[in-house]
Amino acid sequence: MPLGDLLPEITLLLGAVSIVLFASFAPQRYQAWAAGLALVALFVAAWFSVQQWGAPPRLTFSGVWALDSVAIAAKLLILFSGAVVVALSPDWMRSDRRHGEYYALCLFSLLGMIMMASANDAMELVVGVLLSSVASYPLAAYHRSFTPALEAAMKYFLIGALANALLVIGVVILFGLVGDTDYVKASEVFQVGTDSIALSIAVACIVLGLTYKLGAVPTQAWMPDVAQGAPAPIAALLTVAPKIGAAVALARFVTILPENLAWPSIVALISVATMTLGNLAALRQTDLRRLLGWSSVSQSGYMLMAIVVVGSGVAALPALLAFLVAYALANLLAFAVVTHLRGRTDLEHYHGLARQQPLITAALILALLSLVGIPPLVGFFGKFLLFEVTIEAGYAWLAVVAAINTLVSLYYYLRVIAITMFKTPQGKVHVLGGWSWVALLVSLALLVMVSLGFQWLLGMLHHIAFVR
Amino acid sequence: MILTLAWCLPLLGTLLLAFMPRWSTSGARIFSIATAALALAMLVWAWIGFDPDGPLFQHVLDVPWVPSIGVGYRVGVDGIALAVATMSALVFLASIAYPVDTKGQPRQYYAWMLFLMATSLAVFLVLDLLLFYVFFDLSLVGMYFLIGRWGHGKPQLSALTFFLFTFAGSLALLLAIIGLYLSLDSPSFDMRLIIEQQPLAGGGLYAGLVFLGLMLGLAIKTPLVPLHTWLPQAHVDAPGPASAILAGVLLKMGTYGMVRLPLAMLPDTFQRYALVVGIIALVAILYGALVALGQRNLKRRIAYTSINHMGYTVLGIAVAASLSDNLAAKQLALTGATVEMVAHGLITGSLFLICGSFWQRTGEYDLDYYGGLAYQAPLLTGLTVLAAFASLGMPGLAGFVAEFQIFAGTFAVYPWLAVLAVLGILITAGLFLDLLRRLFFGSLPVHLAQFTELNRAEATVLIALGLGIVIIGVYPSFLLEVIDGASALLIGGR
Amino acid sequence: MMLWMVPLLPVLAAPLIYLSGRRGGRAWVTLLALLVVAAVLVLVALAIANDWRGSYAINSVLVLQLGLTPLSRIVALAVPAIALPILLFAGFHERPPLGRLLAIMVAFIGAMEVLVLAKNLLTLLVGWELIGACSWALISHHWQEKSAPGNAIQAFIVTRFGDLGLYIAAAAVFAGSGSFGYQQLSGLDSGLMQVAAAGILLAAMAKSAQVPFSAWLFAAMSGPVSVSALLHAATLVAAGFYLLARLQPLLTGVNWLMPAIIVIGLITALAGGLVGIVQGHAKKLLAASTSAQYGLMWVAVGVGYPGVALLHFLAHGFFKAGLFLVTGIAERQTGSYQLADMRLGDRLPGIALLSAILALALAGLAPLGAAWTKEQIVSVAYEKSLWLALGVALAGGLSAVYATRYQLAMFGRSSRRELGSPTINWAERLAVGGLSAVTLTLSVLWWPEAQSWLQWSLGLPHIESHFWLLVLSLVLVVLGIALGAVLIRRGQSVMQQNWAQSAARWWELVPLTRDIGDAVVRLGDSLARFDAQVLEATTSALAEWVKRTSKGLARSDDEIVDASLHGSAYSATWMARFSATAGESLSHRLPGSLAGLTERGGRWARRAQTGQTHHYYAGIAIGFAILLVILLFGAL
Repeated sequence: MPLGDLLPEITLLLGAVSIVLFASFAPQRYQAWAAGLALVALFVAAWFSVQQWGAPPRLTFSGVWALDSVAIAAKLLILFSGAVVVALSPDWMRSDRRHGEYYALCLFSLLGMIMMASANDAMELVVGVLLSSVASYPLAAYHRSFTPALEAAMKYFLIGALANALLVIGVVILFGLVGDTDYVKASEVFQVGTDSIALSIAVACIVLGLTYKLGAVPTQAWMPDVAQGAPAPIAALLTVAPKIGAAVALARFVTILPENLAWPSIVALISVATMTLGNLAALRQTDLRRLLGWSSVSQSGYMLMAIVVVGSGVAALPALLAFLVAYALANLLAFAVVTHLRGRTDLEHYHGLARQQPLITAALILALLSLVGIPPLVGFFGKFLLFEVTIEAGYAWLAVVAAINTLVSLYYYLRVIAITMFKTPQGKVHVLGGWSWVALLVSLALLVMVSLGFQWLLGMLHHIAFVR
Repeated sequence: MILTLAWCLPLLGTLLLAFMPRWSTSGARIFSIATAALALAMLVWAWIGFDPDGPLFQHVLDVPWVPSIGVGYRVGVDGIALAVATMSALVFLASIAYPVDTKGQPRQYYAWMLFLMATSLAVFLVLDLLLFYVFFDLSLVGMYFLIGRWGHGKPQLSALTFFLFTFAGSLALLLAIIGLYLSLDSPSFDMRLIIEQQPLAGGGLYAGLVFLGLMLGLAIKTPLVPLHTWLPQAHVDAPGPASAILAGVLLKMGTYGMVRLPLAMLPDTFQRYALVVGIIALVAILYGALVALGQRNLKRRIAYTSINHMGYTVLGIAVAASLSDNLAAKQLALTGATVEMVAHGLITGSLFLICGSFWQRTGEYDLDYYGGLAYQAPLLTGLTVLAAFASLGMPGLAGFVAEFQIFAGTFAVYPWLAVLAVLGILITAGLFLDLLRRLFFGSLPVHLAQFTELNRAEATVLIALGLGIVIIGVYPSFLLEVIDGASALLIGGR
Repeated sequence: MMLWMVPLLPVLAAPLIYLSGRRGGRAWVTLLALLVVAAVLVLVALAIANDWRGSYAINSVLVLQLGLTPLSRIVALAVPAIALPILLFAGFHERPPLGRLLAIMVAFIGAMEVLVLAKNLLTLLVGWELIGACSWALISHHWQEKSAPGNAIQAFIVTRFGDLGLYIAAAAVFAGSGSFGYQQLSGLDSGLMQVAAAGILLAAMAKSAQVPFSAWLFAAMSGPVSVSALLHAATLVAAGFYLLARLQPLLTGVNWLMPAIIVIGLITALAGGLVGIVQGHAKKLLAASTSAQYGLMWVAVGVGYPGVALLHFLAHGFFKAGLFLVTGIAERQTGSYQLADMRLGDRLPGIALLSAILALALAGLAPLGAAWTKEQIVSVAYEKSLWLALGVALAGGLSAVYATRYQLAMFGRSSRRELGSPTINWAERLAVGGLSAVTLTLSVLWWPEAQSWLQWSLGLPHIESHFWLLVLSLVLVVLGIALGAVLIRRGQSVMQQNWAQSAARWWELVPLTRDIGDAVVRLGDSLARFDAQVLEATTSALAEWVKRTSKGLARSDDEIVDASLHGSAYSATWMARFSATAGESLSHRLPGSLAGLTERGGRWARRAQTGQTHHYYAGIAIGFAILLVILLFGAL
């Protein structure tokens, strides 16, 4: 029965609702328990999704909801990111008197992202995007008294408003062309042929709407500010999870477009612009969180490479998912370090960290190196697969551009490492409590394990494909 | 398994040093010496178990890692790798044991030393291109931090120069490796597989580009003129043991790589460009020697002699790759090149350690600052004379065995290169004798009245290295039999 | 295998001698050294008796081989025999500590034995290089002095330049035959054989100080006198002649070789003779005469009679060693090697007498043995051509001139005030006496029985001597003696003349050699400057630039410019300056522009981040427009 297909999502919903109820009645000192609830919800949802894994791909709810391996993989990844973020939060939020509903908001935005990942219908996509956005705005601004947070949230909101509006416009035009928002029908119509101009406008709008969630050019501007201003766990969430959903959604959407449409070239263009801009801007940031924000912009550029070639009959989807896994692990770990170090953000505060906190520094270094893509870390394999499929599909120039960008990026990542190594430490290093410590260790362990066991991951992702 | 131990033991030591706080200076030193000695013992054990007449690669261990893209943990040695790796372990042991001012951070210093040892040994021991590349780069990182943190003069700048250049080189290497990887019909990083399948045997532009990338990356590391400019300052600003390792071990990665990658994997392409490589090597030989002659700075002079000696090695490799049916000559040249790697490692290692001793005593590298020390420090004088004569290729010492074979082999293939290359040993002789004269002969300047003789630790290390040099000089058989097997197989003589 | 003991014994004993010299005084260390050399003599005798041989395989290709031939037998015996008195003299003449000196001399003898007994070019090369190294150590024995180390370097470099010839020769033999044996020489194809011959000739010329390599012998004179005696009489200089004598039978296939040897030898003999006549420095006079005498031996080898040359080598070895020792004694009296300052008069009459014998042998006056051996050379030269014979006889006359001059200048009467009592000890007397005795004994060579025995034992071919030729050369000798006496009376005018001055500088070979060395050093200097100020300056400028950016400081294009200008400012030579400009602009544009691009891009990218929403909206709008345009064009 169809309702069973939505068990993970329903679990998240129930979890969120129960958290809201709990938070509104529980006294202040129990607020942190909401995190426990959220974790339980996430794990149950994840468990249900695991149950769905391996079943033949199908559409459900009269075709609006895709239940294929890509969606499930993305779902699991999103849930995992959410779990890490929730685990990072309690210590961070301790100062906040009533932060129970914070977790509810997290779950809502996660739900929205999951919907993006599995939406096989334009309307569904819009709902997912809006849900995740609306739930994210307050999260970004959660520190009401902290001006940068408010500014970041405002920027996030304003850009989001425009992007979402465009998205909706695009969907409306699409509906006008097809007479339906369902992808399957749409693709059938496109096979027959349709007004190319209107279609172009629609595609431009929708792609642009999704770049907002990807943090890609031209709507990347919110990413660094959110990374810097929002609460560190939220920065971790918003630099990772929406991209997963949006990347899958974009991939799903472009696959239904007709061949004669030049969508690969625009995606390629966006990809190049995004990775280059992100790297150049990160080049001389003196603020680690802002630097990570820009680096995650450039990473979006890399992941778009896979979407460029998604229609070329190469194993683009496994590469995309593998890269997303690598990116999520590394970025979450980096932000976990930042969070655990009480969100110290100015690079000067990282001087000589290696001598006071060897293990934490090691974690940070591993995360950064994995983001660069230094073997044997998982980041290398992620990028390696991306380059492989891109070259295989005849987009060698794209791979070269990406390689050059990797070089440039190496420079600022190494700079951070050198600072933690060379400079003389200044003052004592304060860290958060046990929750964030555990979260950090877990993501570190996962990074290492996945690096060593990449074959296993690859085996899992090997056959994933969109439902047809 | 034993090879894995050989490079993992130092890594283990690194972790212990890094994550266990409160080590005493002597404690850290003794511990690192013991670890390095253990690693060396492992390699000696591997040497004993090595069968010169056996297959090319022995002590092989192959653990699949990511089979679907052909990545795996693969180690194994042929005679060449075994010889170079063992020499490296010895140089590392000597450098770690050499007393040096650790600037109040003994724990970090010895941790980095062991880390560098682990990565460097791994470069010579692994049989997987990807791992080779990874360790090739990691060794850069280790050296970068050693120079940057424990160097003198403008260490950070020199370290950066070193890093930028060699890293640029290793990027060229990476592209070439990926090219090599993609050229296989079932892509894999397994060196043995590539050597066996010879994917680019046809030659052509693609093979040429891959070859160019490989050679570029390795030539920067070697270094060949004109890509050598990172070397001198890095040496001058590096602490003595670090430059001993830089010259003794890291430079060998370049030439070892030339034997392992282009010579073994792209013989046809290498054959086409062998003469060009040989000519470049000749330029390096003469240019390095002449520039060294022009140096007034002790350490720079020795640094440039490294360029000259690595030139001999590359010349030998080029001859081995050349299009000639005189297998005996090609094998002689390749064996000579390998012996040159080993010999140069020991000789230049000890020379740079000696430089370290000078620096620790006076903080001065200017040759004109010194003079007349022969009476003050007879032991130092004797050991320096030994190293210098070994370096200028005196029979009975390690250098001669190597260079004579290279000349003999080269002449049989490229007579003119050989005729011009021998001029190198003449210039080298001149510059080393001049070095000895300026350091030890003449009248003793007043400011050197307090100059002290080598202490026990320094003397022990240098004497050990000197013994190695003499033993290779008078009884090279034990070395040659191991190397000959490999070079015969690589040349196709067996 | 046993034959290895001959060279190994002295080489292994050397450290012992060094140590014993460090603590003991003269007696023990000298005794030890003498015992070792005597033992070598005995070992060689034993080796000859039971025909030992030795071989040591490093691998299949590199094999060291020792063996005995009629020629090497004699030389292998002669080397320690001549060395014995020299070592005795050294032990009691030179200033302690003697450990290093005697040890290296003994090791030197070992190396020389390797060279003599060698049966293939690799072994030869080993011994060849080793004696070069030992000679460096011996000549720079007085390392505190200013000039000695430099001269030692010159001697080593010049001789090693010859060694390169041996490297090439060995390589050529290997290229042709796959091994290094002497016998393979004769089997080579002509091209390779010519290369090998050229290399061997070069090596021999350099070692036995033939023209144009004669100058290093003068430099070698800054070593102790006993060292000079050893180098000239028995070992270093002899090596060149020995090499030719040993390989001459195998190289007959090279048609230009023998004439070349003859020409070089004769020129050296004549030129060296003149140098000896005008040279005012006692040791340098002897050095020039060494070149000249070995020139005569070369002629003998060149015309195909290595045996004859060998005989002259033996005679020469004894009297030349003696003469050097006498010079040392004389110098001890006057404190100078300048013949002008000598004039010992009737002090040391005994030494004067012995010296006279040796000098006459050098002059080649019958009935001394050296005379006979020289006459042999004359007569074999006559077999080639009359002019050659005359040339050799003339060279003999010249040697008579400087021999006489040497003797008279050293022991002639002097008007100067008497110095203190003569300083000389029994050992010095014994050494010189022994050598003169041998020289005197060699007179038996004039006795026909002895000659026939010699020819039978050495397997020399019969050489018919011409009486008129003998008379001629003896007349030349007598004339030479007379001329020498005259020169002593009023020689100064001659010495002042330009040709004499330049002849005293070995016909300008001495300055020439030095200039060549200096030129190489200068080349090295300018290359080093080029390397440091062009190549390296740009490199470090690049790094400096990256460092700046990494610090986020100001742009450092100017740093690069500075560095390179700084570099080019100092560059002296034209090349350096030229390349400096080229290299600078290149280095500056390439990395500068690339990096500058990145840099500027970074600044732009950050400036785009203004924080003002309408900018973002504008950006988004533009992006949207671009996407749309692309899509539309794609669609149309």
